Amino acid sequence: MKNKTFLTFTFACLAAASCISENEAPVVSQDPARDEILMTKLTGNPTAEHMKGNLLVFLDKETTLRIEKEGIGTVTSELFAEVEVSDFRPALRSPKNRELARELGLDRWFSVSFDESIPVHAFASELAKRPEICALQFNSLPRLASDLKAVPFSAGASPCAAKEKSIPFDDPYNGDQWNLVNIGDKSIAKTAREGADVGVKDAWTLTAGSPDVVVAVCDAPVKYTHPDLAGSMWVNEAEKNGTTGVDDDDNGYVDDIHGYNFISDGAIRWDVEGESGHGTHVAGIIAAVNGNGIGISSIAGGSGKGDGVRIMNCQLFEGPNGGGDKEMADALIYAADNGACIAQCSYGYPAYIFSSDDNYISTLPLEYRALKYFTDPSNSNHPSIGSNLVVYAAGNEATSNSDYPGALPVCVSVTALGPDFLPAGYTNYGRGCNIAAPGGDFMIGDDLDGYYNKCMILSTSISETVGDYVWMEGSSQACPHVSGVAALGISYAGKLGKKFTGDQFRDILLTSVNDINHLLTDGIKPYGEYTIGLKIYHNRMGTGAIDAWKLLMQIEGTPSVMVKTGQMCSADISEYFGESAKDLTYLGIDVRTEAKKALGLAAAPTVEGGILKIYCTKNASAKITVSAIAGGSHLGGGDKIGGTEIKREISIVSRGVHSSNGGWL
Amino acid sequence: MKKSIFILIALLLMATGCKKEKTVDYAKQVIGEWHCVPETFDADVYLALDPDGTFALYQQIGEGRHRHYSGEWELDGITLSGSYSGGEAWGSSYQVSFSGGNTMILKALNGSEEVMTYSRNTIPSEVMEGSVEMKSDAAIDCRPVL
Repeated sequence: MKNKTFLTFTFACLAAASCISENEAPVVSQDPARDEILMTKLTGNPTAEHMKGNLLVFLDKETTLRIEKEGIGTVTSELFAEVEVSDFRPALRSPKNRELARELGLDRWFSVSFDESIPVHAFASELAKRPEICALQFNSLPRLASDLKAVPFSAGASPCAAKEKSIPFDDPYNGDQWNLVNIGDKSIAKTAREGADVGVKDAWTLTAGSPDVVVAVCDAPVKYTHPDLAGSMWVNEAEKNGTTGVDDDDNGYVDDIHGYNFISDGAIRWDVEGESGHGTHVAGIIAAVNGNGIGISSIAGGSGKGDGVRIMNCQLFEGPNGGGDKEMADALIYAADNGACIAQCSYGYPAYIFSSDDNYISTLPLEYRALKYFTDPSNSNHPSIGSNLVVYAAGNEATSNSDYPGALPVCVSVTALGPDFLPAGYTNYGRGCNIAAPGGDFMIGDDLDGYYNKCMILSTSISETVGDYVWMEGSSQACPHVSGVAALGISYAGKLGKKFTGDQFRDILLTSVNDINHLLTDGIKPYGEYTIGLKIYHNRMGTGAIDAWKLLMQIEGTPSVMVKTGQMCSADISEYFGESAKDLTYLGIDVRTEAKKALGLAAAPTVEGGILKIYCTKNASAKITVSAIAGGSHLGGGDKIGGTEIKREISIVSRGVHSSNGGWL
Repeated sequence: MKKSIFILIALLLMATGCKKEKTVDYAKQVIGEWHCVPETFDADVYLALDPDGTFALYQQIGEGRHRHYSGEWELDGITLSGSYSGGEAWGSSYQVSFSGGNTMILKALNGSEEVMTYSRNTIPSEVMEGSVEMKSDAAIDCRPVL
């Protein structure tokens, strides 16, 4: 007791003595020896914003086993004999896939709560002395990839609304959704460009979604009663038909009918002051109900027959409050365990915080392992995709790195475009960024009598705080475009009975793009009172701009490359690598011995500038594998921030007859 | 005597056979819809040669939808040649022969000696309706390295 009192006093003194704010302070205390121990165990980034009164600790195996056998109480009293803790519990709620969780060490992470007035660093130093504690992590706080500026939509006030409908659904506001179908309307912006959209109009003739595709919107609350979203919500039937206050499906979460609130540990709620509507906006881009005669259309919101994809909400932000990476990790595991095949994550840690993938992984090991859990093939939640997909926003700091964790190769990081098909002024770009999508850019339309909001993205929101429909912008808005297109792709693969590994699906997603590099040359982009040089974005926005039609075509299958036997041929491989194939960095070509023999390859094929050079001496067909980098000129991983490796299997047909246009005759 | 009758009949039959061979109207015979499934390639090709000298080609090489090309054809004796709608000539002209009325054999005349067999077959409507229109002069699949 005396010890505890003394420590509390010491912590209070330290807090008082510190002139640096908690979130800026490096790891310091008055005891160098203690700091030394802490530095060997600390994984949390001392410079990142983190939660007060909470730490995550990684216990050794023996202690974890003891907790399993003896219960947490005994171990708690031993571990924290010298400090006062208000709560000690497993960091994550019993993941369903126990074997995988154990393999990833997720069962060894615990959450320690204590008096918020005690500096986290000082408390961590004290805990670090315990040999049972192998590592400590600050519960870092990510932030939403949006400025949260929401402009209420005013029906009928816009010049675009009267235009001929170019979207085939009966949704009255969809004339303002340039992000879905951009007809180059100059009332949006003088620089609006026809076709600067997600290419979904033709794709809808093949599919508009499927209810067995569940997208977890890990974000602020999704207002599940919104009339344009209610029909698209994932429903946990056991909880819906069960007893209020009871965990009817025994998944560790009470009353999780449409998802779960990881901040308040309860029901999803959007009535908190300061609620931005961000999560509801993101959800509407993916799956606002199509053809219901109200509001907007969406990428994968069905054809008007209740056949759109479903939204599960993992609430990670509540009004001004956000969760830490413990909550993020919990949400990813919940999503994996409850049927989501896509995690849509428009939040992250600012690009400047982490210097490399290794730096992120060692700093936030819990969240990283949760990502591994979500994307592990054993947790696949759709028969057409071998592992679940994670999509993150690249961030809005206008810097040349993606935010984390989006920059990791295991994630897809999405940069933002305006209706001019040019990078939005705020978007991150460069290292770790994988693909671009409409995110809005209101600064390009500010000379149009107040109609500039139309350069942002129109979607659903919360009437109680900002309105049923609002304009927002950010890589937060770009991200759900890619998630929505991916959801459409999985829906179509399911319809065709096709199966892909997770890597294959991600690779065709990242190569289903339109080229924007040809626009990113020496020109400038008007930006309010300023201009932005475009050259710095060249080949740094990812592989190109996402295109839903191209994805569906790649899911159907990509035709063989036809070459002429007995002649060195140059073949365009943009059908495999997207329109930006010429600008990609290629890593190599894998030719199996059988293929080499079948085609009678005179020399090893090469690839450069999107052109495959190959010399076949025999009439035959065979497959080769070409690898490239999605996003930048070098791979991420290890001590780097960089792109993701993409591999495409290319079928070669070598014939004695050849037409330069690919025709058979 | 009997022997002489047999010889006479045989001569008559031979004469009749030769006469039939000479009367094959290639220009008429090639017209119609043809299907080629080559054994050595992963391909499925439909070809419609229309009487007005136009053709429609639906080819699925490897995976994906059939790709639709169009253009014009002509027959000079037993040599079939043509060009795509963009003006690009076929990769070869072909020597045409038939095996019965429903099998057409095209032998490439570009020195490759490639032979493809086509059977008379109606092009399924789903192939036509589901095909991707190709701009015949746009796709550059393979070109010689200069």
